[in-house]
Amino acid sequence: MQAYSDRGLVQMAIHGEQQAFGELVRRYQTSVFNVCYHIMGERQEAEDMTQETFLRAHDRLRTYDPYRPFGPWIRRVGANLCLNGIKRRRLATLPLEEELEGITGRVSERPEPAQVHAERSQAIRAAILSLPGHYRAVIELRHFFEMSYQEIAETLELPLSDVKSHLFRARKILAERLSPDV
Amino acid sequence: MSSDRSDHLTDHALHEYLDGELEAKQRAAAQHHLQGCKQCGARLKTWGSLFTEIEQLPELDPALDFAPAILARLPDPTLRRSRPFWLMVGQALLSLAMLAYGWLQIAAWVPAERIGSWLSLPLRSMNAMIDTLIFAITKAFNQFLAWSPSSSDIITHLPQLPDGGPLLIYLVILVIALWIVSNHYLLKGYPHPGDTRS
Repeated sequence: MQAYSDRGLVQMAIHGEQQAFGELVRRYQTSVFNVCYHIMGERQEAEDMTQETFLRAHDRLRTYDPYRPFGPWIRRVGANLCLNGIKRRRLATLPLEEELEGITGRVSERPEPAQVHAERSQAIRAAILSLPGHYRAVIELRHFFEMSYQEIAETLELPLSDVKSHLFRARKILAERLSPDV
Repeated sequence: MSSDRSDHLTDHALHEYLDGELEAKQRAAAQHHLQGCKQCGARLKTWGSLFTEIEQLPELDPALDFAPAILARLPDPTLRRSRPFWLMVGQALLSLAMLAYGWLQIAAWVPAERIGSWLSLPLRSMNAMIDTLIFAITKAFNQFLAWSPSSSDIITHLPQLPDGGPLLIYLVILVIALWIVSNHYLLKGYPHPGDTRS
């Protein structure tokens, strides 16, 4: 199965080849999980949403345009699913103490460059995860989906002015948490 | 990342500049200002670094393979096909034909005075027509099987059937058999809504 293109796997999956869909899952589960994790802000929820994303995608495989890359399509399915979940939950801030503890607990006195980079990444991730849900959503859509302000507004069904202010405040919070001197 | 000078670019403007959201005229003005303002240039660089760091965030490893759990929840591929339209139409027509024929047969047995002549006459006429049609089909079928009736047999037998009773039973059994076959074999691979493999 690994030799097949995404398009080939999609066609096989449409015709009932479950192993072909399994291969698609293995190829994109990490990126879909990350989308879900950024938006949901909690690992268990992200895992659940990742599964739901692929099940939803399987149901809608016939609507997928095989001449477009599969990755962005499946990530978009995941993002929409998570955003709907967040909308239903009315964008509550999630408890993320365990994520932050995981980062601060692993800092050594003389870290290697690679370790510094890893810790910086963890710090950024933790800072994003600590944002309220609606701030996380705009950050995700802007920086990981490269959506324009207008596209974000349409996706989240928010006024353009709200998108701008959410994005600005979210970045301001990130900047303050990541660089206290800012 | 703020400034006391009113002519400096605001953080909002810097964000929109980096996001490519400024209109051409505003963008040109911002670029002009940034060329001559080190302070705004430094703020732009700081924000730009943050944006880059966010966008280059390495992916988090989910640490588990979702595929087995997802595949286990997929519907059985043999249940994936939707029920074809022709089959549903065929079944509907067969049902109607069965219902109509049975009703007409029953109506034919009921004395005319019990249901009224205005209803009895058309019912009996339709019944006779259907019986005639069935008789003709039977004859044609028998002819196909090398039995050679005289060409006047059909006319002779109109409109009554010498073996109407057994023929009716035969037809009912045939239709029931067809119905069972269509339901239990032709529709075997077609799910009802919500059918999934556990």
